[in-house]
Amino acid sequence: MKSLVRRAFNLLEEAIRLVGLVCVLSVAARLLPRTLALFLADMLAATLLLLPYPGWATVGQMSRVFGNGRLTAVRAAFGWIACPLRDFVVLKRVAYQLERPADWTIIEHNAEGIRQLRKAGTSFIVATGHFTRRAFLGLFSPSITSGRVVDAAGVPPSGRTLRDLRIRVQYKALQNAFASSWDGRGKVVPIGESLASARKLLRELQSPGTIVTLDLDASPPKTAAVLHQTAFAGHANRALATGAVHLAQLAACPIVPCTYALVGNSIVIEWGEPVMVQQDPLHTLDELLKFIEDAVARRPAQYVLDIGRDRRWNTSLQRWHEYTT
Amino acid sequence: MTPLSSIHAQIDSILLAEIPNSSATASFDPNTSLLDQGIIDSIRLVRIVGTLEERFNVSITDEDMIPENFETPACIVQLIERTVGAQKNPG
Repeated sequence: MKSLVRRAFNLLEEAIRLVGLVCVLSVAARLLPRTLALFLADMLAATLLLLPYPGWATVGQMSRVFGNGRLTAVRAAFGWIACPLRDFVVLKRVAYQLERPADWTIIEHNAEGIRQLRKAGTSFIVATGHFTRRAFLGLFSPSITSGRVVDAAGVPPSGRTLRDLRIRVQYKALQNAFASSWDGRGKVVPIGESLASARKLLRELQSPGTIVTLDLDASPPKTAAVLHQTAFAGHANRALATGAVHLAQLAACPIVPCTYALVGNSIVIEWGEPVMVQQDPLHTLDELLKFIEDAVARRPAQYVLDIGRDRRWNTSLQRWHEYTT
Repeated sequence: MTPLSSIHAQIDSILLAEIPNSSATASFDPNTSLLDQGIIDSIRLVRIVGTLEERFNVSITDEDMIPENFETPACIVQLIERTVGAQKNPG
């Protein structure tokens, strides 16, 4: 009975999201001022927050994983639900050329290692995660990734469910914004379906001064020979793709962890230290994932994938641990 | 032309060398499902294709890298046969 009710609410959620994106936010992004279009995205998020799924469930999840009281959990849940909707508005505005990412303020932290790679013209992999798509566009600024940029992007599901349709609408918005920003300097190589994708990326990395961006928190493609099962972002056990570290090993190029976030009116890019993948790629992957996972905990509302309920974030120790109580 | 059995033996040795934990296997059954069983994926294929190109002195294009050509060791044998033939007799 409970699962039937849940499925009914999930269907309602997806219907609201899809209609909201296609009929409300697409139009609002084109015709209304930015603030008003974002307000509509927030209203849509507030509607979803009132539903048992995803609203109350997300509040419970945020409370369980991050603690900090009910009000903070409500705020985090609202932010998490609103993030992809607000992203959609901004991506559409960029695609309609109503705003230019080149006008955004982008700040880098811990960029010393990356500066040396830029200076040397070394090709490298940027290992990142699924954070707010608005800030993701900032990563492709010529001042941040100065060489040729290739985004290795998973392909959206091809099914006919409301969820699959909604994901395709969001994916298209990102691709269109990507093509319209930074004079279309970024190139997309789809991964996951084609057996040639790794070879194409390797070829790109063999060309000097090329940057390939890959999401470490992506689910592995169905055909993946190697999976990495590990605790990640509240999940006790998530299967993750290992392609980024294996590609870095094949290309003998550095891999650099990176997260991005919206802070006030700026995009903040946080770099980790560049590493070379040696004998144990999965050990390197664990270290890179920790960098991404900690960023999820610092700004859960800006993470666009699911956060698990099996582990919690200890704010004072600044680390994840198993949920024991 | 290289005999089919020789191509098969060479492909078998390439797969055994490139796929971890497969050395305990004496050889791959020609009909082993390499993709469905998760034995090879796009990352492993980079190395395998590189070795195939070197060993048989052929060029395997991105368009050739489709599941139908790598589903089983027998499919790889056919791909190499075809590619060697086409590159020896262009047009």
